Amino acid sequence: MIEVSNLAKRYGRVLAVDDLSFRAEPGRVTGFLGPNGAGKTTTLRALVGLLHQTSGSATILGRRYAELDDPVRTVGAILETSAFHPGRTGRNHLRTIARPAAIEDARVDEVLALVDLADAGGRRTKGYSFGMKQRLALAGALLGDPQVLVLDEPANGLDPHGIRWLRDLLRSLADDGRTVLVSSHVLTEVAQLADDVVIIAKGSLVAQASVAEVLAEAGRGTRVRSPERDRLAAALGRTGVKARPFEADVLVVDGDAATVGEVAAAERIVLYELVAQSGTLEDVFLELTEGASRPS
Amino acid sequence: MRLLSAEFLKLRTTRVPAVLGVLSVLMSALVAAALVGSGSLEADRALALAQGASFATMLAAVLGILLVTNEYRHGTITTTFLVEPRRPRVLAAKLAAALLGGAACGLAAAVASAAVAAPWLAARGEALAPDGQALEALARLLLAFALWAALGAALGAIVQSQVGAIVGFFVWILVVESLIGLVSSLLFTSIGEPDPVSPYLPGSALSGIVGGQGSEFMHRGGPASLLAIAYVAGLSALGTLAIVRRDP
Repeated sequence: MIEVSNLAKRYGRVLAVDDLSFRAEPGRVTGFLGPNGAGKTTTLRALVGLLHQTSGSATILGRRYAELDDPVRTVGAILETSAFHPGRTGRNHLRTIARPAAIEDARVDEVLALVDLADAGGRRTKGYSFGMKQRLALAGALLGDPQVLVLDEPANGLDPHGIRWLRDLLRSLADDGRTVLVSSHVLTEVAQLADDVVIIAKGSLVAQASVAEVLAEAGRGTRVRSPERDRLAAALGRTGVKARPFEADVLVVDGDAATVGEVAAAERIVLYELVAQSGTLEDVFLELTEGASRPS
Repeated sequence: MRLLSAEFLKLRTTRVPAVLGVLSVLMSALVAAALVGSGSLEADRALALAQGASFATMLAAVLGILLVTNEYRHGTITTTFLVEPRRPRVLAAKLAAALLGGAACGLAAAVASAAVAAPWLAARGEALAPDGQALEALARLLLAFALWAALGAALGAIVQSQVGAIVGFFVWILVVESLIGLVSSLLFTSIGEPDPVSPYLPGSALSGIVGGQGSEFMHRGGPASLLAIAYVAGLSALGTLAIVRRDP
Protein backbone atom coordinates (compact mmCIF):
# COMPACT_ATOMS: atom_id res chain seq x y z
CA MET A 1 0.00 0.00 0.00
CA ILE A 2 1.08 3.56 -0.71
CA GLU A 3 0.12 6.31 1.66
CA VAL A 4 0.76 10.00 1.14
CA SER A 5 -0.11 12.22 4.12
CA ASN A 6 -0.11 16.00 4.13
CA LEU A 7 2.78 16.03 1.71
CA ALA A 8 4.17 19.44 0.79
CA LYS A 9 7.13 20.45 -1.32
CA ARG A 10 8.24 24.02 -1.79
CA TYR A 11 10.71 25.18 -4.42
CA GLY A 12 11.61 28.69 -3.43
CA ARG A 13 8.36 30.64 -3.69
CA VAL A 14 6.51 27.93 -5.57
CA LEU A 15 4.52 25.36 -3.63
CA ALA A 16 4.72 22.40 -6.03
CA VAL A 17 2.78 20.05 -3.75
CA ASP A 18 0.46 21.47 -1.13
CA ASP A 19 -0.86 19.36 1.76
CA LEU A 20 -1.56 16.35 -0.44
CA SER A 21 -3.01 13.15 1.04
CA PHE A 22 -4.15 10.00 -0.75
CA ARG A 23 -3.79 6.23 -0.70
CA ALA A 24 -3.21 3.56 -3.30
CA GLU A 25 -4.50 0.15 -2.25
CA PRO A 26 -3.07 -3.30 -2.99
CA GLY A 27 -4.86 -5.28 -5.67
CA ARG A 28 -5.88 -2.12 -7.51
CA VAL A 29 -4.48 0.07 -10.24
CA THR A 30 -4.60 3.67 -9.07
CA GLY A 31 -4.43 6.35 -11.74
CA PHE A 32 -2.65 9.51 -10.65
CA LEU A 33 -3.97 12.34 -12.77
CA GLY A 34 -3.39 16.00 -13.16
CA PRO A 35 -2.59 18.62 -15.76
CA ASN A 36 1.04 19.25 -16.64
CA GLY A 37 2.78 20.91 -13.73
CA ALA A 38 0.20 19.75 -11.19
CA GLY A 39 2.88 18.13 -9.02
CA LYS A 40 2.55 14.48 -10.07
CA THR A 41 6.23 13.85 -10.68
CA THR A 42 7.24 15.79 -7.57
CA THR A 43 4.90 13.63 -5.49
CA LEU A 44 6.21 10.39 -6.99
CA ARG A 45 9.83 11.46 -6.50
CA ALA A 46 9.13 12.24 -2.85
CA LEU A 47 7.46 8.84 -2.52
CA VAL A 48 10.61 7.00 -3.62
CA GLY A 49 13.00 9.18 -1.62
CA LEU A 50 14.49 11.09 -4.52
CA LEU A 51 13.66 14.43 -3.02
CA HIS A 52 13.31 15.90 0.42
CA GLN A 53 9.76 17.01 1.03
CA THR A 54 9.16 20.23 2.90
CA SER A 55 6.66 18.54 5.23
CA GLY A 56 4.33 15.57 5.50
CA SER A 57 5.10 11.97 4.69
CA ALA A 58 4.94 9.46 1.88
CA THR A 59 5.24 5.78 2.76
CA ILE A 60 5.25 2.44 0.99
CA LEU A 61 4.01 -0.55 2.99
CA GLY A 62 4.12 1.73 6.03
CA ARG A 63 7.77 2.72 5.67
CA ARG A 64 9.69 5.53 4.07
CA TYR A 65 11.48 4.39 0.90
CA ALA A 66 14.90 4.88 2.50
CA GLU A 67 13.88 2.52 5.33
CA LEU A 68 12.93 -0.39 3.06
CA ASP A 69 15.08 -3.47 3.59
CA ASP A 70 15.24 -4.48 -0.04
CA PRO A 71 13.97 -1.61 -2.20
CA VAL A 72 14.50 -3.33 -5.57
CA ARG A 73 12.37 -6.31 -4.52
CA THR A 74 9.77 -4.11 -2.80
CA VAL A 75 9.18 -1.23 -5.19
CA GLY A 76 9.56 -0.98 -8.95
CA ALA A 77 9.64 2.59 -10.20
CA ILE A 78 9.87 4.44 -13.49
CA LEU A 79 10.72 8.08 -13.10
CA GLU A 80 12.75 9.30 -16.01
CA THR A 81 12.16 8.08 -19.49
CA SER A 82 15.65 8.18 -20.86
CA ALA A 83 17.73 7.60 -17.75
CA PHE A 84 20.25 5.33 -19.39
CA HIS A 85 23.90 5.73 -20.22
CA PRO A 86 23.81 5.92 -24.02
CA GLY A 87 26.94 3.82 -24.39
CA ARG A 88 25.71 0.98 -22.19
CA THR A 89 23.62 -1.87 -23.58
CA GLY A 90 20.07 -2.36 -22.36
CA ARG A 91 20.97 -5.68 -20.82
CA ASN A 92 23.95 -4.21 -18.98
CA HIS A 93 21.78 -1.37 -17.69
CA LEU A 94 19.52 -3.97 -16.09
CA ARG A 95 22.54 -5.81 -14.71
CA THR A 96 23.67 -2.65 -12.90
CA ILE A 97 20.32 -2.72 -11.07
CA ALA A 98 20.38 -6.49 -10.53
CA ARG A 99 23.93 -6.64 -9.16
CA PRO A 100 23.44 -4.68 -5.91
CA ALA A 101 20.15 -6.50 -5.25
CA ALA A 102 21.78 -9.92 -5.86
CA ILE A 103 19.42 -10.73 -8.72
CA GLU A 104 20.60 -13.38 -11.19
CA ASP A 105 21.36 -12.57 -14.83
CA ALA A 106 18.72 -15.17 -15.75
CA ARG A 107 16.06 -12.85 -14.31
CA VAL A 108 17.53 -9.97 -16.37
CA ASP A 109 17.00 -12.01 -19.54
CA GLU A 110 13.52 -12.94 -18.34
CA VAL A 111 12.34 -9.33 -17.98
CA LEU A 112 14.03 -8.37 -21.26
CA ALA A 113 11.96 -11.04 -22.97
CA LEU A 114 8.85 -9.89 -21.08
CA VAL A 115 9.14 -6.35 -22.52
CA ASP A 116 10.06 -7.73 -25.93
CA LEU A 117 13.62 -6.46 -25.87
CA ALA A 118 15.35 -9.84 -25.90
CA ASP A 119 16.92 -9.13 -29.29
CA ALA A 120 17.77 -5.48 -28.61
CA GLY A 121 19.24 -6.16 -25.14
CA GLY A 122 22.77 -6.39 -26.50
CA ARG A 123 22.61 -3.02 -28.25
CA ARG A 124 23.67 0.32 -26.81
CA THR A 125 20.68 2.32 -25.58
CA LYS A 126 21.57 5.34 -27.72
CA GLY A 127 20.10 3.41 -30.66
CA TYR A 128 16.82 2.74 -28.85
CA SER A 129 13.55 4.38 -29.86
CA PHE A 130 11.54 6.26 -27.25
CA GLY A 131 9.18 3.31 -26.89
CA MET A 132 12.08 0.88 -26.45
CA LYS A 133 13.54 3.08 -23.71
CA GLN A 134 10.17 3.14 -22.02
CA ARG A 135 9.99 -0.66 -22.15
CA LEU A 136 13.54 -0.94 -20.83
CA ALA A 137 12.59 1.31 -17.91
CA LEU A 138 9.61 -0.94 -17.26
CA ALA A 139 11.87 -4.00 -17.35
CA GLY A 140 14.01 -2.32 -14.69
CA ALA A 141 10.96 -1.70 -12.53
CA LEU A 142 9.84 -5.33 -12.83
CA LEU A 143 13.30 -6.80 -12.24
CA GLY A 144 12.85 -7.43 -8.52
CA ASP A 145 9.28 -8.75 -8.92
CA PRO A 146 8.13 -6.00 -6.53
CA GLN A 147 4.92 -5.75 -4.52
CA VAL A 148 4.51 -2.06 -5.33
CA LEU A 149 4.85 -0.30 -8.67
CA VAL A 150 5.25 3.46 -9.02
CA LEU A 151 5.10 4.40 -12.68
CA ASP A 152 5.40 7.97 -13.91
CA GLU A 153 3.79 8.23 -17.36
CA PRO A 154 4.69 4.66 -18.36
CA ALA A 155 2.56 4.79 -21.52
CA ASN A 156 4.52 7.71 -22.99
CA GLY A 157 6.03 6.73 -26.29
CA LEU A 158 4.20 3.42 -26.54
CA ASP A 159 2.19 2.65 -29.66
CA PRO A 160 -1.47 1.58 -29.32
CA HIS A 161 -0.37 -2.04 -29.31
CA GLY A 162 2.12 -1.29 -26.54
CA ILE A 163 -0.47 0.59 -24.50
CA ARG A 164 -2.81 -2.35 -24.69
CA TRP A 165 -0.01 -4.66 -23.64
CA LEU A 166 0.85 -2.34 -20.72
CA ARG A 167 -2.79 -2.27 -19.66
CA ASP A 168 -2.98 -6.06 -19.58
CA LEU A 169 0.31 -6.26 -17.71
CA LEU A 170 -0.72 -3.76 -15.02
CA ARG A 171 -4.07 -5.49 -14.67
CA SER A 172 -2.44 -8.86 -14.08
CA LEU A 173 0.01 -7.31 -11.60
CA ALA A 174 -2.84 -5.77 -9.63
CA ASP A 175 -4.79 -9.03 -9.77
CA ASP A 176 -1.80 -10.67 -8.07
CA GLY A 177 -2.45 -8.34 -5.14
CA ARG A 178 0.21 -5.76 -5.98
CA THR A 179 -0.19 -2.01 -5.53
CA VAL A 180 0.08 -0.15 -8.82
CA LEU A 181 0.23 3.66 -8.95
CA VAL A 182 0.33 5.06 -12.48
CA SER A 183 0.55 8.73 -13.32
CA SER A 184 -0.72 10.01 -16.61
CA HIS A 185 -2.08 13.05 -18.33
CA VAL A 186 -3.76 10.94 -21.03
CA LEU A 187 -7.17 10.31 -19.60
CA THR A 188 -8.62 7.76 -21.98
CA GLU A 189 -5.66 5.59 -21.09
CA VAL A 190 -6.34 5.81 -17.38
CA ALA A 191 -10.09 5.30 -17.74
CA GLN A 192 -9.40 1.92 -19.30
CA LEU A 193 -6.54 1.09 -17.02
CA ALA A 194 -7.32 2.18 -13.49
CA ASP A 195 -9.66 1.03 -10.75
CA ASP A 196 -9.21 4.19 -8.70
CA VAL A 197 -8.21 7.71 -9.59
CA VAL A 198 -6.44 10.40 -7.63
CA ILE A 199 -6.81 13.76 -9.36
CA ILE A 200 -4.59 16.66 -8.40
CA ALA A 201 -4.28 20.20 -9.64
CA LYS A 202 -1.82 22.89 -8.56
CA GLY A 203 -0.31 20.49 -6.05
CA SER A 204 -3.56 19.80 -4.18
CA LEU A 205 -5.95 16.90 -4.16
CA VAL A 206 -9.06 17.54 -6.24
CA ALA A 207 -10.67 14.12 -6.04
CA GLN A 208 -9.99 10.57 -4.98
CA ALA A 209 -12.53 7.94 -5.94
CA SER A 210 -12.99 4.76 -7.90
CA VAL A 211 -13.29 5.18 -11.65
CA ALA A 212 -16.83 3.73 -11.40
CA GLU A 213 -17.85 6.42 -8.88
CA VAL A 214 -16.37 9.18 -10.95
CA LEU A 215 -18.14 8.01 -14.07
CA ALA A 216 -21.43 7.71 -12.17
CA GLU A 217 -20.92 11.27 -10.95
CA ALA A 218 -20.19 12.43 -14.47
CA GLY A 219 -23.34 10.66 -15.70
CA ARG A 220 -25.66 12.83 -13.63
CA GLY A 221 -25.65 15.70 -16.07
CA THR A 222 -28.30 16.36 -18.69
CA ARG A 223 -28.05 18.07 -22.02
CA VAL A 224 -31.18 19.84 -23.13
CA ARG A 225 -32.04 21.75 -26.31
CA SER A 226 -34.82 24.27 -26.22
CA PRO A 227 -35.78 27.43 -28.16
CA GLU A 228 -36.42 29.06 -24.76
CA ARG A 229 -33.04 28.21 -23.36
CA ASP A 230 -32.72 31.14 -21.00
CA ARG A 231 -36.23 30.87 -19.56
CA LEU A 232 -35.58 27.18 -18.86
CA ALA A 233 -32.31 28.02 -17.15
CA ALA A 234 -34.05 30.56 -14.93
CA ALA A 235 -36.82 28.10 -14.07
CA LEU A 236 -34.29 25.40 -13.20
CA GLY A 237 -32.39 27.94 -11.13
CA ARG A 238 -35.51 28.67 -9.05
CA THR A 239 -35.74 24.96 -8.15
CA GLY A 240 -32.09 24.93 -7.14
CA VAL A 241 -30.73 23.08 -10.16
CA LYS A 242 -27.66 24.58 -11.79
CA ALA A 243 -27.63 24.99 -15.54
CA ARG A 244 -25.21 26.67 -17.86
CA PRO A 245 -25.78 27.74 -21.46
CA PHE A 246 -23.70 25.82 -23.96
CA GLU A 247 -24.49 26.36 -27.62
CA ALA A 248 -27.14 28.71 -29.08
CA ASP A 249 -30.08 26.68 -27.83
CA VAL A 250 -28.36 24.12 -25.64
CA LEU A 251 -28.21 24.01 -21.86
CA VAL A 252 -26.04 21.70 -19.79
CA VAL A 253 -27.84 20.92 -16.56
CA ASP A 254 -26.38 19.59 -13.34
CA GLY A 255 -29.38 17.35 -12.69
CA ASP A 256 -31.09 14.31 -14.14
CA ALA A 257 -33.31 14.24 -17.21
CA ALA A 258 -36.49 13.63 -15.19
CA THR A 259 -36.07 16.86 -13.20
CA VAL A 260 -35.46 18.88 -16.34
CA GLY A 261 -38.49 17.34 -18.08
CA GLU A 262 -40.78 18.05 -15.13
CA VAL A 263 -39.64 21.66 -14.78
CA ALA A 264 -40.06 22.21 -18.52
CA ALA A 265 -43.57 20.71 -18.45
CA ALA A 266 -44.60 22.84 -15.45
CA GLU A 267 -43.34 26.00 -17.17
CA ARG A 268 -44.76 24.93 -20.54
CA ILE A 269 -41.37 25.20 -22.26
CA VAL A 270 -40.84 23.40 -25.55
CA LEU A 271 -37.94 20.94 -25.61
CA TYR A 272 -36.33 19.73 -28.82
CA GLU A 273 -33.91 17.35 -27.19
CA LEU A 274 -33.36 15.89 -23.73
CA VAL A 275 -30.32 13.66 -23.26
CA ALA A 276 -28.96 12.14 -20.06
CA GLN A 277 -25.23 12.65 -20.45
CA SER A 278 -22.98 9.65 -20.32
CA GLY A 279 -19.99 11.51 -18.97
CA THR A 280 -16.43 10.53 -19.50
CA LEU A 281 -13.52 10.71 -17.12
CA GLU A 282 -12.21 13.47 -19.31
CA ASP A 283 -15.27 15.64 -18.65
CA VAL A 284 -14.87 15.18 -14.93
CA PHE A 285 -11.17 15.82 -15.12
CA LEU A 286 -11.60 19.02 -17.10
CA GLU A 287 -14.37 20.19 -14.82
CA LEU A 288 -12.42 19.46 -11.65
CA THR A 289 -9.15 20.92 -12.80
CA GLU A 290 -10.66 23.88 -14.62
CA GLY A 291 -9.34 27.14 -13.31
CA ALA A 292 -6.47 25.29 -11.70
CA SER A 293 -4.91 24.54 -15.04
CA ARG A 294 -5.56 27.97 -16.48
CA PRO A 295 -2.73 30.42 -16.20
CA SER A 296 -3.68 32.76 -13.39
CA MET B 1 30.54 -5.06 -1.43
CA ARG B 2 27.63 -5.59 -3.81
CA LEU B 3 27.44 -1.85 -4.40
CA LEU B 4 31.16 -1.78 -5.15
CA SER B 5 30.75 -4.67 -7.54
CA ALA B 6 27.91 -2.77 -9.22
CA GLU B 7 30.17 0.27 -9.57
CA PHE B 8 32.80 -1.83 -11.32
CA LEU B 9 30.09 -3.26 -13.55
CA LYS B 10 29.01 0.28 -14.46
CA LEU B 11 32.63 1.16 -15.27
CA ARG B 12 33.21 -1.96 -17.34
CA THR B 13 30.05 -1.53 -19.39
CA THR B 14 31.09 1.85 -20.80
CA ARG B 15 34.13 2.80 -22.85
CA VAL B 16 35.43 5.47 -20.49
CA PRO B 17 37.83 3.35 -18.40
CA ALA B 18 39.29 1.62 -21.45
CA VAL B 19 39.95 4.96 -23.16
CA LEU B 20 41.50 6.49 -20.05
CA GLY B 21 43.55 3.32 -19.39
CA VAL B 22 44.95 3.27 -22.91
CA LEU B 23 45.73 6.99 -22.74
CA SER B 24 47.62 6.64 -19.47
CA VAL B 25 49.59 3.66 -20.84
CA LEU B 26 50.53 5.67 -23.92
CA MET B 27 51.44 8.75 -21.89
CA SER B 28 53.64 6.92 -19.43
CA ALA B 29 55.32 4.90 -22.18
CA LEU B 30 56.08 8.12 -24.03
CA VAL B 31 57.46 9.84 -20.95
CA ALA B 32 59.56 6.75 -20.07
CA ALA B 33 60.97 6.69 -23.59
CA ALA B 34 61.83 10.38 -23.35
CA LEU B 35 63.50 9.93 -19.95
CA VAL B 36 65.59 6.93 -21.01
CA GLY B 37 66.32 8.24 -24.48
CA SER B 38 67.59 11.58 -23.21
CA GLY B 39 69.83 9.78 -20.72
CA SER B 40 68.53 11.99 -17.91
CA LEU B 41 67.90 9.08 -15.52
CA GLU B 42 70.31 9.23 -12.63
CA ALA B 43 70.67 7.55 -9.27
CA ASP B 44 67.10 6.64 -8.35
CA ARG B 45 65.89 5.52 -11.76
CA ALA B 46 62.70 3.82 -10.59
CA LEU B 47 61.51 6.93 -8.72
CA ALA B 48 62.33 9.15 -11.69
CA LEU B 49 60.34 6.83 -13.94
CA ALA B 50 57.46 6.86 -11.47
CA GLN B 51 57.53 10.65 -11.46
CA GLY B 52 57.36 10.54 -15.23
CA ALA B 53 54.45 8.12 -15.18
CA SER B 54 52.62 10.29 -12.66
CA PHE B 55 51.80 12.72 -15.47
CA ALA B 56 48.93 10.37 -16.19
CA THR B 57 47.41 10.89 -12.72
CA MET B 58 45.32 13.67 -14.30
CA LEU B 59 43.55 10.92 -16.22
CA ALA B 60 42.83 9.09 -12.96
CA ALA B 61 41.24 12.28 -11.65
CA VAL B 62 39.09 12.46 -14.78
CA LEU B 63 38.11 8.81 -14.25
CA GLY B 64 36.95 9.69 -10.72
CA ILE B 65 35.03 12.75 -11.91
CA LEU B 66 33.27 10.73 -14.63
CA LEU B 67 32.46 7.92 -12.22
CA VAL B 68 30.13 10.30 -10.36
CA THR B 69 29.14 12.97 -12.88
CA ASN B 70 28.25 10.54 -15.68
CA GLU B 71 25.37 9.39 -13.48
CA TYR B 72 24.10 12.93 -13.07
CA ARG B 73 24.66 13.75 -16.73
CA HIS B 74 22.71 10.77 -18.04
CA GLY B 75 20.13 10.65 -15.25
CA THR B 76 21.13 7.18 -14.10
CA ILE B 77 21.71 8.61 -10.62
CA THR B 78 17.93 8.26 -10.18
CA THR B 79 18.15 4.50 -10.71
CA THR B 80 21.24 4.30 -8.51
CA PHE B 81 19.43 6.02 -5.64
CA LEU B 82 16.37 3.82 -6.14
CA VAL B 83 18.58 0.74 -5.81
CA GLU B 84 20.39 2.16 -2.76
CA PRO B 85 18.50 5.05 -1.18
CA ARG B 86 21.19 5.53 1.47
CA ARG B 87 23.21 8.04 -0.55
CA PRO B 88 26.37 8.07 1.60
CA ARG B 89 26.75 4.35 0.85
CA VAL B 90 26.51 5.06 -2.85
CA LEU B 91 29.30 7.62 -2.63
CA ALA B 92 31.39 5.33 -0.42
CA ALA B 93 31.13 2.61 -3.09
CA LYS B 94 32.08 5.12 -5.78
CA LEU B 95 35.07 6.35 -3.77
CA ALA B 96 36.22 2.76 -3.25
CA ALA B 97 35.77 2.05 -6.96
CA ALA B 98 37.76 5.22 -7.74
CA LEU B 99 40.59 4.21 -5.40
CA LEU B 100 40.84 0.73 -6.90
CA GLY B 101 40.21 1.87 -10.48
CA GLY B 102 42.78 4.64 -10.07
CA ALA B 103 45.33 2.18 -8.67
CA ALA B 104 44.68 -0.16 -11.60
CA CYS B 105 45.26 2.73 -13.98
CA GLY B 106 48.50 3.49 -12.12
CA LEU B 107 49.59 -0.13 -12.37
CA ALA B 108 49.00 -0.06 -16.12
CA ALA B 109 51.08 3.12 -16.35
CA ALA B 110 53.87 1.61 -14.24
CA VAL B 111 53.96 -1.58 -16.31
CA ALA B 112 54.03 0.43 -19.54
CA SER B 113 56.77 2.63 -18.18
CA ALA B 114 58.89 -0.35 -17.04
CA ALA B 115 58.26 -2.24 -20.27
CA VAL B 116 59.73 0.65 -22.23
CA ALA B 117 62.55 1.53 -19.84
CA ALA B 118 63.85 -1.83 -18.58
CA PRO B 119 65.00 -3.44 -21.88
CA TRP B 120 66.37 -0.13 -23.08
CA LEU B 121 68.38 0.42 -19.90
CA ALA B 122 69.53 -3.20 -19.89
CA ALA B 123 70.82 -2.80 -23.46
CA ARG B 124 72.94 0.13 -22.23
CA GLY B 125 74.17 -1.96 -19.33
CA GLU B 126 72.18 -0.03 -16.73
CA ALA B 127 69.92 -2.05 -14.48
CA LEU B 128 66.34 -1.41 -13.38
CA ALA B 129 66.15 -3.98 -10.61
CA PRO B 130 62.91 -4.62 -8.70
CA ASP B 131 64.64 -3.64 -5.48
CA GLY B 132 63.30 -1.87 -2.41
CA GLN B 133 63.56 1.55 -4.03
CA ALA B 134 61.68 0.40 -7.10
CA LEU B 135 58.92 -1.12 -4.99
CA GLU B 136 58.61 2.07 -2.97
CA ALA B 137 58.38 4.09 -6.18
CA LEU B 138 55.66 1.74 -7.44
CA ALA B 139 53.73 1.98 -4.17
CA ARG B 140 53.88 5.78 -4.24
CA LEU B 141 52.73 5.82 -7.84
CA LEU B 142 49.75 3.55 -7.13
CA LEU B 143 48.79 5.64 -4.08
CA ALA B 144 48.97 8.82 -6.14
CA PHE B 145 46.76 7.40 -8.90
CA ALA B 146 44.28 6.04 -6.34
CA LEU B 147 44.04 9.34 -4.45
CA TRP B 148 43.72 11.46 -7.60
CA ALA B 149 40.83 9.26 -8.74
CA ALA B 150 39.15 9.48 -5.32
CA LEU B 151 39.67 13.25 -5.32
CA GLY B 152 37.96 13.36 -8.71
CA ALA B 153 35.02 11.31 -7.42
CA ALA B 154 34.65 13.54 -4.35
CA LEU B 155 34.81 16.66 -6.53
CA GLY B 156 32.22 15.11 -8.84
CA ALA B 157 29.88 14.57 -5.91
CA ILE B 158 30.31 18.18 -4.79
CA VAL B 159 29.88 19.79 -8.22
CA GLN B 160 27.65 17.12 -9.88
CA SER B 161 27.75 18.90 -13.25
CA GLN B 162 30.21 17.05 -15.48
CA VAL B 163 31.47 20.05 -17.41
CA GLY B 164 31.64 22.09 -14.21
CA ALA B 165 33.66 19.46 -12.38
CA ILE B 166 36.16 18.87 -15.20
CA VAL B 167 36.65 22.54 -15.99
CA GLY B 168 36.80 23.41 -12.30
CA PHE B 169 39.38 20.70 -11.69
CA PHE B 170 41.74 21.79 -14.44
CA VAL B 171 41.33 25.48 -13.72
CA TRP B 172 42.21 24.83 -10.07
CA ILE B 173 45.21 22.61 -10.81
CA LEU B 174 46.63 24.49 -13.80
CA VAL B 175 45.68 28.08 -13.07
CA VAL B 176 44.73 28.74 -9.45
CA GLU B 177 47.41 26.65 -7.76
CA SER B 178 50.11 27.86 -10.16
CA LEU B 179 49.10 31.46 -9.55
CA ILE B 180 49.03 31.09 -5.76
CA GLY B 181 52.36 29.24 -5.97
CA LEU B 182 53.95 31.96 -8.08
CA VAL B 183 52.77 34.82 -5.90
CA SER B 184 53.59 33.20 -2.57
CA SER B 185 57.01 31.92 -3.62
CA LEU B 186 58.00 35.36 -4.95
CA LEU B 187 56.74 36.96 -1.77
CA PHE B 188 58.45 34.64 0.68
CA THR B 189 61.67 34.26 -1.29
CA SER B 190 62.05 38.03 -1.17
CA ILE B 191 62.06 37.97 2.64
CA GLY B 192 64.21 34.84 2.73
CA GLU B 193 61.61 32.50 4.19
CA PRO B 194 60.48 29.09 2.81
CA ASP B 195 57.13 29.23 1.00
CA PRO B 196 54.51 28.25 3.65
CA VAL B 197 51.58 28.07 1.26
CA SER B 198 52.03 26.47 -2.14
CA PRO B 199 53.47 23.06 -1.17
CA TYR B 200 50.41 22.46 1.00
CA LEU B 201 47.78 23.12 -1.63
CA PRO B 202 45.80 20.02 -2.70
CA GLY B 203 47.39 19.63 -6.14
CA SER B 204 50.92 20.02 -4.74
CA ALA B 205 50.21 17.59 -1.92
CA LEU B 206 48.95 14.92 -4.32
CA SER B 207 51.81 15.52 -6.73
CA GLY B 208 54.18 15.34 -3.78
CA ILE B 209 53.29 11.69 -3.13
CA VAL B 210 55.56 10.53 -5.93
CA GLY B 211 57.90 13.44 -5.37
CA GLY B 212 58.76 16.49 -7.36
CA GLN B 213 60.66 19.70 -7.38
CA GLY B 214 60.11 22.37 -4.80
CA SER B 215 60.44 22.67 -1.07
CA GLU B 216 61.75 20.11 1.37
CA PHE B 217 58.22 18.95 2.07
CA MET B 218 57.74 17.91 -1.52
CA HIS B 219 60.77 15.66 -1.51
CA ARG B 220 59.35 13.42 1.14
CA GLY B 221 56.56 11.10 0.03
CA GLY B 222 55.22 10.44 3.53
CA PRO B 223 54.06 13.88 4.72
CA ALA B 224 52.71 14.75 1.28
CA SER B 225 50.77 11.45 1.25
CA LEU B 226 49.24 12.14 4.65
CA LEU B 227 48.23 15.64 3.62
CA ALA B 228 46.80 14.28 0.33
CA ILE B 229 44.78 11.66 2.22
CA ALA B 230 43.46 14.41 4.48
CA TYR B 231 42.41 16.50 1.48
CA VAL B 232 40.67 13.53 -0.16
CA ALA B 233 38.90 12.66 3.12
CA GLY B 234 37.79 16.28 3.57
CA LEU B 235 36.47 16.57 0.02
CA SER B 236 34.73 13.20 0.38
CA ALA B 237 32.95 14.48 3.48
CA LEU B 238 31.84 17.59 1.57
CA GLY B 239 30.78 15.37 -1.34
CA THR B 240 28.67 13.23 0.99
CA LEU B 241 26.94 16.34 2.32
CA ALA B 242 26.33 17.57 -1.21
CA ILE B 243 24.73 14.39 -2.55
CA VAL B 244 22.60 13.93 0.58
CA ARG B 245 21.37 17.52 0.59
CA ARG B 246 20.95 18.18 -3.10
CA ASP B 247 18.27 16.08 -4.80
CA PRO B 248 19.02 14.75 -8.27
